[in-house]
Amino acid sequence: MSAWRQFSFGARALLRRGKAARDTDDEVAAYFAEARASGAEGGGDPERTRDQMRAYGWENLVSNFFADLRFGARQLRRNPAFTLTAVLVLGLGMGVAATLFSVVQAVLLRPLPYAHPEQLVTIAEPRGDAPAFWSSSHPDVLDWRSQNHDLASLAFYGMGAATLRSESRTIMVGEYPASANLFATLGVRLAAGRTFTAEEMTAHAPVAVISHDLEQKWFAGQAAVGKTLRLDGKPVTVIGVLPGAMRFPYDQPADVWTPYATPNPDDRGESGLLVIARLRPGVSVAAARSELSAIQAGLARRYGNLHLPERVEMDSYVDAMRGGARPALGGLGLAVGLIWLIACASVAGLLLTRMAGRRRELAVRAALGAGRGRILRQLLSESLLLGVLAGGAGWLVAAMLLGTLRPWILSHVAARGVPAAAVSINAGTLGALFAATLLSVILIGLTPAWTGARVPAAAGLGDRSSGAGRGQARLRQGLVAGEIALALLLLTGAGLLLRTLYALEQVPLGFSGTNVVTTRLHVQPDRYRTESIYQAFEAPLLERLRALPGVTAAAITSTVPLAQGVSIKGKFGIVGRPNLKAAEQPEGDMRYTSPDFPRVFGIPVERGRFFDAGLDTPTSQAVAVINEAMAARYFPGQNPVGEQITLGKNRAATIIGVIADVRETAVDRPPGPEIHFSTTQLAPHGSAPFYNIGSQFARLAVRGSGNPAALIPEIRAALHAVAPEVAPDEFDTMRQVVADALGDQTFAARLLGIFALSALAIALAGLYGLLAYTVAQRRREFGIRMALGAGRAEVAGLVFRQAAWLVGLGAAVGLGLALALTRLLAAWLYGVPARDPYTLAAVALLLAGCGLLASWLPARAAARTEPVTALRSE
Amino acid sequence: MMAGMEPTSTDVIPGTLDLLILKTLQLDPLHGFGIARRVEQVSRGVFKVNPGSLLTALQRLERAGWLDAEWRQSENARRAKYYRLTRAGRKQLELETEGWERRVAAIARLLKAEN
Repeated sequence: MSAWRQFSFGARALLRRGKAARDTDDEVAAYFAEARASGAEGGGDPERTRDQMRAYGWENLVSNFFADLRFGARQLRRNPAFTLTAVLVLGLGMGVAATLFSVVQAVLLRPLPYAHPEQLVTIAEPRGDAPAFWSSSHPDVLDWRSQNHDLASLAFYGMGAATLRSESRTIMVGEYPASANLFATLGVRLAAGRTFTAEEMTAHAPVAVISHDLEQKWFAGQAAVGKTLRLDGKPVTVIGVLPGAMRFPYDQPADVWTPYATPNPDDRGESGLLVIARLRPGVSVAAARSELSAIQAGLARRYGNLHLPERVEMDSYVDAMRGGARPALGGLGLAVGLIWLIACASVAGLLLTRMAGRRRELAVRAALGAGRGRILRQLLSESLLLGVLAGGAGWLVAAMLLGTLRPWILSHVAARGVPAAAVSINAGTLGALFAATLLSVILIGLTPAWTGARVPAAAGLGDRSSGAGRGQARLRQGLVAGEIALALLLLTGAGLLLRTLYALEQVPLGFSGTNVVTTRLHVQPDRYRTESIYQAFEAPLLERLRALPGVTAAAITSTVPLAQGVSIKGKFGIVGRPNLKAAEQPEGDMRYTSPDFPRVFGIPVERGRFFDAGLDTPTSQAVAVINEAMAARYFPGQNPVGEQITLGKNRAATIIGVIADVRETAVDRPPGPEIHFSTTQLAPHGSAPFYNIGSQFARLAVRGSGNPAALIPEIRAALHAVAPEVAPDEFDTMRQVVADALGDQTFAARLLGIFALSALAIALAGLYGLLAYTVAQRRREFGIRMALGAGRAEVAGLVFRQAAWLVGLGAAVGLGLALALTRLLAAWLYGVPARDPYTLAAVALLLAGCGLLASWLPARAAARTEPVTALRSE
Repeated sequence: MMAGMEPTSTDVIPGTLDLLILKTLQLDPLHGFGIARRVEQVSRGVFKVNPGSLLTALQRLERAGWLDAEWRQSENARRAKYYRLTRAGRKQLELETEGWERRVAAIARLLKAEN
């Protein structure tokens, strides 16, 4: 009750300040009037009494604080150059840092929409013959589930694709069969409907949970639950819809989740499951890994004839997802910190400079009776005001910068499944930066305020130079040199990344992507059970496409260079050489291509020939074409054409040609051994090492004579005419594919470039501020020098000399830092050493040039000193 | 809360001003000077009250809910702020009186136990 009265009385006094003051005046007047009337002297002084009364209550602190703020605002307004510079510099530092960090967070640190994502782990059986991550078998997984104690739940799923058809449309979707507890394990709550039950899983019920995207795309935003989908021709009922933010696994566009149906539920040799599990709270990954490995070792002993792996691989899902991002985070985090530091140092220098100029004013106020606490409070409220203004500017800068960068960022990250909403200013980041900036401005403000408040009146008033001490001058110069050093470090990083980008753009890719457009095709797996997929589907399609005006070549291939796709790594043997153990067998990337593949991509055939639809048929001898890397590794100094390679037990293929190497997986990675097989030999029971199944992962590539994007509608029409049930995915031009392959480097180089230039601007503002101040301080000295005969050029030279000294010192320290730190960037560099002397020299030159520019105005001001007026002032 | 920090010395024993005010108002409402005069009279001039401390203390006690205030005409036909003890104020007076008596008794014992 009393706290309420405290508050309400104070609030009333605050809101009706006039009435409160009148009441106090009246009460004091009444007191002394009564005293006089009763003949007593009252024992005090009305003025003092009133002051004492007004000092009471919390509202008094508030109104004092506002008075301080008003005073601070007046001070800031009186010195607009200082205020504007400080606010701009801090705002730029904060805004740029917040933007950078928000982008990093959206792209690299994507928040996962799962409950306690740190408890999620991926588990795999490391079998030799399949990619490790999808190598677990159904019975093994069930044994892990029933025997462990460390996992709260264990779920599994597979990856596949399917065709969705309606009367008017055919599209390709990612179809992922999953165990019933997958969503419970992830901790994802459905946006609508329900997930399938364990019974529905056992019964292979025709039900599906679909993604939010598919609901939007296929049902035009209408509620999908209860509706029917025709999935590869089979009707399934939609029973649930996932939330829009859901992405699983990793960035895969999983559209349809169906109950998992294992073809061979009891076959431990059959791999193909992906496993995700949730640890019990408090259990470490290492502990769970050793428990499951022990269980797996037991299984391997029990089923010794199957040669099961004797351990499992287990990794944190979050780490697996962000694994590659960690060094990037370190580097960008460093850049964020550096920019912010430079801005703070710059403003610290400005504040110190300003405080030095106000020494006399503070001394005067101290002499007039202002207590140290009062002066401190006043200066602090000034800093606070500055900090708040800077915070507002920072927010504006961040909003504007991100607004400008947004479309570009989105185009870069959309493919990685970053939702558009995630690319926004992170309120937490901005808040934290704002708090840190406010704190640092107050701390910076405190240092001079403290020394300022301590100035003995006599010293402060008597000091004719009105400047600061030697120590402060040195501190300011140190700050500016430090800013220059840090800016040089950032510029070096940006320079190295730009050089990398340039080097990457110069890498000969080995193919020509000009005028080529590609898309993925999903062919229903059971459609070509009795006939050759090439004869029934691919040949008519390619023929129709070649007949189109504007098309010069068309091919089917399982992989398109630099595009994401399925790559099947396989072991093979070479006929006529000793048999090797499985682990030592040569390995290569296997792919399927149609005869026109080299023509579409402009890849030269170095030896022998490429495939020919007339010669290479399902019944002729199986043939293969290898790349030069494979020829060099496994057939050094000999002609591989005519040699035979074996796959598995009874399948062999004759090498009929060698094609040139192509940058296949990444621009900066040299190609490995590759083996092409011919789609013309694919058939249910053909001679080729693979059956029709290979073409489930087909890509179509078409070369045009002009802009390939113009061909897309005709390609669609041709596809529809040949096989209406085959759905094309999105179309990409090869130009886009290559740009995407360089996307990370482009992104990093441009981001760091923007930030390094901001840092340079901030550091130059600091340098300029210091020089301008020094020139103002040294006016008298310059006047005397000129009166004694020094020329204008000499005086300007003094300023340039100081600038050169500061820039030189900063650059030297910065170069040292760069030499020590750029190796952190090594993982992103290509074709340029981390300590590239040319980059360092260019950056140092840029800095020197800009430093010269920043000192130009102060030097000119110094040169224009009029000796007479300079000597007369003061 | 701020009264203790006053540098001006009054003859009132530090910390007893609240008690004196509450006690003085026990009978009937008084204005500021009335309280000062009553304290001086009753203490036979031993305690002199500083006006600044007194008026600040009155603000504080009013906010604590122990006093209510009202503007009225004084005997001299002036507008003056009259303070009146509330129920909470009476309770507080009892508490403070008890506390004071305990302290006085303790001090008296200490002074007697001379050795």
